[in-house]
Amino acid sequence: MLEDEQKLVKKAQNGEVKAFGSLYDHYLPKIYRFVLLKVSHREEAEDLTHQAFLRAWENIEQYDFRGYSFGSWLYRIARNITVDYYRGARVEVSVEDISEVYLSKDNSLEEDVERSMEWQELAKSIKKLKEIEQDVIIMRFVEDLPLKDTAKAVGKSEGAVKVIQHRAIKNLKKLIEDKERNG
Amino acid sequence: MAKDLLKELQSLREITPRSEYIAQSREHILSTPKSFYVTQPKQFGNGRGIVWESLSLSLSTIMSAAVVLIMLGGATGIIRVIVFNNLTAGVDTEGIIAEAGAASKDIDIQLNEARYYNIPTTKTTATPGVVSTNVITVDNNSKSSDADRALKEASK
Repeated sequence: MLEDEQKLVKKAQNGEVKAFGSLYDHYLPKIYRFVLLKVSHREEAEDLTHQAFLRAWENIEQYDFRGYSFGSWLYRIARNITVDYYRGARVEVSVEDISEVYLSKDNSLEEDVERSMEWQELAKSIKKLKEIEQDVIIMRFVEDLPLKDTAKAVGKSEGAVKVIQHRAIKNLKKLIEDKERNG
Repeated sequence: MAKDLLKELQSLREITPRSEYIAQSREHILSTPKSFYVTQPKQFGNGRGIVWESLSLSLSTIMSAAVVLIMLGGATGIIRVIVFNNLTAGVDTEGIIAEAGAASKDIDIQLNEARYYNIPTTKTTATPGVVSTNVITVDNNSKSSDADRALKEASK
């Protein structure tokens, strides 16, 4: 969690643009990664992430701390936006259609290219999981979000999230093993 | 394998958005004006909430009605000046007044004449020996007892 996060949130709720700017800088990469791994295309991920932060800024008064981080609230917004995106556009993204460039970095060192390939394979496997398993895997293991905040973001109990994350890891491992076995 | 998988998942944190995108998106979001009055949740139940809202609504209604009435009053005055000035333009008002005065005088004369010819007959004329009720003229205003008395005198 960001240091003095609640102070920044209070300031942002009072209309301080700079305070929201600090929250934006801290959470943008996290929310962007979450959305990117869900939609698999860079341009769409950029648009949806932008929408998520815009919606957060417009409705920041509605955020109430109650022990949950601002991040969990942002993840919840981003999650709703990606659900709306798939529901509204009726997009069916095949794991084979995942853009070859969306994970690559700006430079083109051989090491980075190799890394990028690994990420793409991992992203394809994550995409094969159930929606809720994808969310929990990304929040808990990619972004290291606390169990309590993850539960809040996905609208489940902490116990349910524990069960989901266990099953998600198991399923993901099996998918990767199957892929390695089949070459 | 599980440890490798967790490491692999954590390595995804190295993915970052493009710097041009960050700059553009940040600038756009932070330049968006906050609509506090639209999104601010209503605070009922904090003591003055409902009373204050009702009072402010009533006051604003009364003030609006007063403004509308003032405006209508002012407008009526303006309309009257414009319309009536236009209606009486080109009319000889002095001539109309003189004509009305002359007509009034004529009516007075005619009324005086009518009053003169309308004097009631108060006396009863009777010829002795010729008794006839037809010749007895009775004033409309005379009482029935006067008529009886006249008949008795005639019959003597």
